Amino acid sequence: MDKDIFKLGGREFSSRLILGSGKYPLPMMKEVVEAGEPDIVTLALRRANIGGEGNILDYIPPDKTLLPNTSGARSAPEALTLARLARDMGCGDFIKIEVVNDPKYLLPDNEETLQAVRLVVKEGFVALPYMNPDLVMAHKMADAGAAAIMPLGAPIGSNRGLTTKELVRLIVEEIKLPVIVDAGLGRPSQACQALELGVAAVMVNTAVATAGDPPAMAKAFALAVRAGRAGYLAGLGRTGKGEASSPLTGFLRTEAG
Amino acid sequence: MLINGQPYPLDESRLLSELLTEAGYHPDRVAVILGGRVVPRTDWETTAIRADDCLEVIAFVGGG
Repeated sequence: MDKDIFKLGGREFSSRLILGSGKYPLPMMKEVVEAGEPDIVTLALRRANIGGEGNILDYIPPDKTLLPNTSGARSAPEALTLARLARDMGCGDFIKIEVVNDPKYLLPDNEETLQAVRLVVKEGFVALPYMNPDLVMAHKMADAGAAAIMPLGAPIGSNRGLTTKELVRLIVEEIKLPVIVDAGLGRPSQACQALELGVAAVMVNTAVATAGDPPAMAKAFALAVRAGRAGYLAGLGRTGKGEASSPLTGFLRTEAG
Repeated sequence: MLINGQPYPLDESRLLSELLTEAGYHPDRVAVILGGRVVPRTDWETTAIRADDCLEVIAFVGGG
């Protein structure tokens, strides 16, 4: 059987769980990555502190692909600046485009996000736009050179699950790029559900970071993602009104008649 | 001058590469914005910082 992989920016990935690195004490991040076995780990960029508890890069195994995000950007030019900073740090060309102007629900600004994709692609970045799951906009992102589409399942950090399921389904069916559900997944079963739909991967941070035992939850998500992918590959059975699984003939009689 | 919005004493102009180390940053772990533009690390040894400059020193942190 062929390897079950997906490609981004010419690189192959087999783990369909992408982990965020936010909200952890640094040493726990290492445990979470070891337990969840992602190929890709996301990061953010902020003003540097002097001293402090160390650098996040020292707690992520070097074989992982780093996916910096542009969180904090409110416009396409700000996202481009963050992308350039990330690249200058020598950690590759991958960039998750995240442009948010909505302080209440943290919903992405699709229009600025599209513009940001155009800007970073022009500079050779592998652009992964985090977006509201709008199929028309997803086509435009693809035309602009995005390497994947990252629709949200629910608002960032909400743990509310795949509330956008039907819209994500359309994107999976129509867009010929890897689709990665990013944001909102709160439970392993929701990640499994996303993979059953045919998405290439899911990205999870808060669900793991706020769990009672984050490394154990990372493991649980890894298992759920594998189960969902296996279910997708197996071809889901049909849905219907109700149908006996056992034969409807040859019944035995247990009472004397 | 200002580094990340905080005043930093600078008597005379200094090379960016020297200033970062002197201010306590780990050069391998930061990137820099000067006057709104990213200064590539290949230019740090030729970029002079003056008393009226505003520097942003950026690092990776955990994030989703």
